[in-house]
Amino acid sequence: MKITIQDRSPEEEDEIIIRCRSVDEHLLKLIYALKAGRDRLTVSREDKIFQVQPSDIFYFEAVDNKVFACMEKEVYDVRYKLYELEERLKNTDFFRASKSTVINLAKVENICPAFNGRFEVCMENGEKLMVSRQYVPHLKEKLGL
Amino acid sequence: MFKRKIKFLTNVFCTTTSCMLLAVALLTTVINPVERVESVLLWQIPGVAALLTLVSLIYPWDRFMGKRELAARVAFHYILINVGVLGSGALFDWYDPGNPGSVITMLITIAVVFATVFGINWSRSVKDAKQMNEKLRKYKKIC
Repeated sequence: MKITIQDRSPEEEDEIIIRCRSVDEHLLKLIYALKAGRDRLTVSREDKIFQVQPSDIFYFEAVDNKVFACMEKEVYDVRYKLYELEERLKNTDFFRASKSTVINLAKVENICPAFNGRFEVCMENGEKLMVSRQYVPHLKEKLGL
Repeated sequence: MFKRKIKFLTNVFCTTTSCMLLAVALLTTVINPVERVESVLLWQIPGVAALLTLVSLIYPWDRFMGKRELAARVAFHYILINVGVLGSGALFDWYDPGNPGSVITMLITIAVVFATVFGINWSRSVKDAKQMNEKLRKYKKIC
């Protein structure tokens, strides 16, 4: 792939133009990564505010009307609702796995069947999460099945 | 979501009907051979299968169950199936409720059909998980 970087005038906005014959899976991932990479998320913990890369988040979980961003080891508070995060991270690695979780597919180690049409996903940090029957088609769609 | 529920119920209905049909075939030809089977049975089988399919809605659709809740619901599901089949069977004269041997045969048949449907659904899930893991590996390679 040929990469060309052009200078721009100070009044212009940074712009990435992709010239291709067709948008394949690889290119789509690149676009997602570009979009996600610039879009940092504001989270908080113990009254301190942090900016994190969405790609570092393993999953979001809603518990008692609060939403938490779970990283490899740390857990942060997020001020967004789960459906807002789902919308905001629509074209990235994240997918809705249940009413209370949005999972980062890039951090999933493997998928195992669970009873009654559900699936259990093992995350790279060893945590196990469920994909409810209602959201299994979302996961399959994300994987291109 | 309604579409998905219908699809799920259709799958359960088809699997249950097929297994019931096989069970009836085995019962009427091998286990307890009879000379002829009434044609009304062709309506009774899908009718009871439809009833049993509706019973499968006792599992929550969009929330998780703990191991205890899951075990309780599976047990309740199994009891409802037994009640449904034995009740319908008594109504349609599939067996003699006063004959313990006949009741035991029905109970064994129900257990075999339940286990078969469970096994078929489980093997589908295993196949799905395998496919998803393959796709996941490719997905992560691209990442």
